Amino acid sequence: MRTNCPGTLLFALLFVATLFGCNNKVDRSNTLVYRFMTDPPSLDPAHSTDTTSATATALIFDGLVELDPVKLKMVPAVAESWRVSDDQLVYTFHLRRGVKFHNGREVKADDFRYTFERTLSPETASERTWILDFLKGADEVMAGKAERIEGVEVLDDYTLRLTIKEPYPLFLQYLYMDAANVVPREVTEKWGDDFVDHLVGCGPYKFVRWRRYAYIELEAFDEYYAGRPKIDRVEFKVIPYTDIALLKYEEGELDMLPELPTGRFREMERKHAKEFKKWPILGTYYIGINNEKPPFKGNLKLRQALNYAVNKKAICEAIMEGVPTPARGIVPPGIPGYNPDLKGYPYNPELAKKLLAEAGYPGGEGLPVIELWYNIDPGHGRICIEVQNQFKAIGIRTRLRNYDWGSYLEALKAGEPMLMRAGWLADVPDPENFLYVLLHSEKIGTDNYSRYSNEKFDKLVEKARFTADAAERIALYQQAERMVVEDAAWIFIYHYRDVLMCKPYVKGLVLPVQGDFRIPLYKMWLAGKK
Amino acid sequence: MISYVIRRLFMVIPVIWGIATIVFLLMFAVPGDPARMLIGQRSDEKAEKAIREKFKLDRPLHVQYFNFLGRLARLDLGRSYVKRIRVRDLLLGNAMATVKLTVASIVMAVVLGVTAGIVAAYFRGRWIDLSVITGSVFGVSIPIFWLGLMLMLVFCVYLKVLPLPDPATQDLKHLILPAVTLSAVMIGYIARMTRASLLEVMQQDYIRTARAKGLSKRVAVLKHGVRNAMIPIITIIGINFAALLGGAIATETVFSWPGIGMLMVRSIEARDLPVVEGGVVVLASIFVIVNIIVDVSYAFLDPRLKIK
Repeated sequence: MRTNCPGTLLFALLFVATLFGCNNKVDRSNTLVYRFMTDPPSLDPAHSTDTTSATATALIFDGLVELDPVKLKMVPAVAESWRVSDDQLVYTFHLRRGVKFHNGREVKADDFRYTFERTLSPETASERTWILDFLKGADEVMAGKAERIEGVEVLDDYTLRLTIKEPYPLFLQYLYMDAANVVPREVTEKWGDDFVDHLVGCGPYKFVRWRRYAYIELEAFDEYYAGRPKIDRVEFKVIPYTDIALLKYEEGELDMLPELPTGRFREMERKHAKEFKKWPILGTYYIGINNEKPPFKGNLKLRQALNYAVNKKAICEAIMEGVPTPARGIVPPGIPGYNPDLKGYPYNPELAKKLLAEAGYPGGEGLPVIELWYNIDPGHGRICIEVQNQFKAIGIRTRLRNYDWGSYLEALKAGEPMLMRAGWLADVPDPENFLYVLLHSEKIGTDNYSRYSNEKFDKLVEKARFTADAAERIALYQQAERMVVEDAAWIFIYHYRDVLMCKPYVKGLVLPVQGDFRIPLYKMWLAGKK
Repeated sequence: MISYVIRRLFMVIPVIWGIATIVFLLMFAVPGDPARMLIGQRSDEKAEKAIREKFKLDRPLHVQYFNFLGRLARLDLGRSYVKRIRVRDLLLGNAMATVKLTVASIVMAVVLGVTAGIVAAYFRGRWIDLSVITGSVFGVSIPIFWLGLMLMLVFCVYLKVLPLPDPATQDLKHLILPAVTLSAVMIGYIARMTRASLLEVMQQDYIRTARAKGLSKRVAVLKHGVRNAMIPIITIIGINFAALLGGAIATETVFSWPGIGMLMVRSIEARDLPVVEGGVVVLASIFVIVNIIVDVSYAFLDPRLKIK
């Protein structure tokens, strides 16, 4: 068929031209290439809700304080010092002078006031308002009844005073989270929701570009207050398929590879011993038992039987290839208040059968088929199949059901499943983040998926939450945790360990207990990358 | 011809309206609340309320529907709940990657498929014909996902003649394997249809007459037979275009190809309604326009067919 349409010819030429692109060789010897499994939802700190976003936003933005990734202590960031009043209600921060945003303007105390108001504003609709809602006057701003937060006062350009509603020991820790990271008003107001494509912070790296579902590019900020990072550029590449990412890492196209494929840990550890990193992080993997549904409701022995029937060690060794550690409770090692003396439920199928009989179901007779739900993921599937087999060994029949994450989350909050796979990584390194968030009765219908309700437990946790004395808090939390473990509210499976592959020329690597997303990439350097 | 095209373009409107309505209702029927998905595991009722108000998710269903239609009529696809940027910008940002992949796949499929079909028909009954038939069965049967992985293993890992997928680059070298993967099914269909159609045409009287008059088989087939065999082939191409767009999703995931397919899958998972609705409307419009082009092309191929 003849064509004499110049438009068609032009389109064809342009199309072919894009295929050849620009073949300029860029020196990448000082560029860190890091893999993301998914595209982050947002890099706007007010909307950063997940670990992928947090990895990138930590480089672009900074807040008043930072959490030392190893010592788990709050350290100065944009604020060089602070003091807390005796009644634990007033926090006064003194900002460093000369901290610059990426657009050259100096960061002042008023920028933090603006940032907090922006995060709490209903117009922004931030997903993380809970980080700041302890501030006095926060509720009025969130309800749209006020624009100014009563508890935020700018005493001068470099002094900020925050007043909270009631003494809360974790408030300072919340301030290092993304939603409290400072942003410049003139940029966010100019761009509105399009700020995500024109990000300006005061962090060690400047935003260059973000091609959705492809990559994010950052470049070192020369005027970073803590010193220009040694690595010139950071590229986050979105490679969903983990086996492909592994191939690219082995070919030298990636420098750091988190989220290794389950089933290949031992292989990678063997092949690349020096590059394979494994370290404990603050997370717990469990199977929640719906404490409101029969046959579990009011049947302690049945819940205990389920716990004794599961061989956590075998799951950790065989399925998870020795990476995580079996759990005896809820609070993971590394969190102040972790209780190493908890007995938990070591694998004991004979005891499980005995308890099952005492629960009224000898040999599983009379027990309905138990449904175990999980969200679609090969690793979760393997674990749940193994649990199903272990239940079968003592006479419990189980049916597995899996769903995509959206449907699963909906079902969890509605209390539909009988047993449900779940996991939790700490927002802050404190037992409150597990015991209150996941098990307090007022969290039923939100994060208390197992719908555990115990008045004594609630009172202990409520008291601990607002107790300033650290030793007393820990004692209260440990008492509360023992209660939940004795009640067998969950099947406690394992505590997480993170795995990461990192090339030997990547230096200064620190492995934080919060997980790979808190690796301080800006403190690293490359030595000998070609 | 022009009036026919204009009439067909107007018919796009009720088709798009129907598709948009179905997708809108389906997304509401599927479990998974967009506001809760945005918040994630750590619930916050106040934040959920603010999100619902901002995105008007607290309005009754019919109000949301008419708001959606109103925006569509203004060609405003809205903003992504997750990314917060305009859906139009999101789609445009990913569109070029999908256009490259789709165009390359169609060109490859048409060239290879038609050539294979012609060769098979020409050498009917011989080993080359059997090879093409077997190959086409393989092509239509093979899962795209598996084929993509195997091609990567062979060409990128063992032979090292092509690079591994890189989301930052969609140049020719990186396009070859995804295009081959995506076109495999279509090559199979086109080859089979071309062979069948051409065999039927070769039985026609005018071909026998041409041969009897001394025209070589090659000239009779290529000059007279192929053109007359093309109409059903063009139809197959048009129909398979939809399959191509669907197959692009799996291909884009395997090859980390940042196209609209990947965007749509992630948006469905995240219940990002504006992106799903906008993406479906755009893809449906493209599909309808492609089919108009296919219909119009018949008149060029066969002058007996007049467009009225």
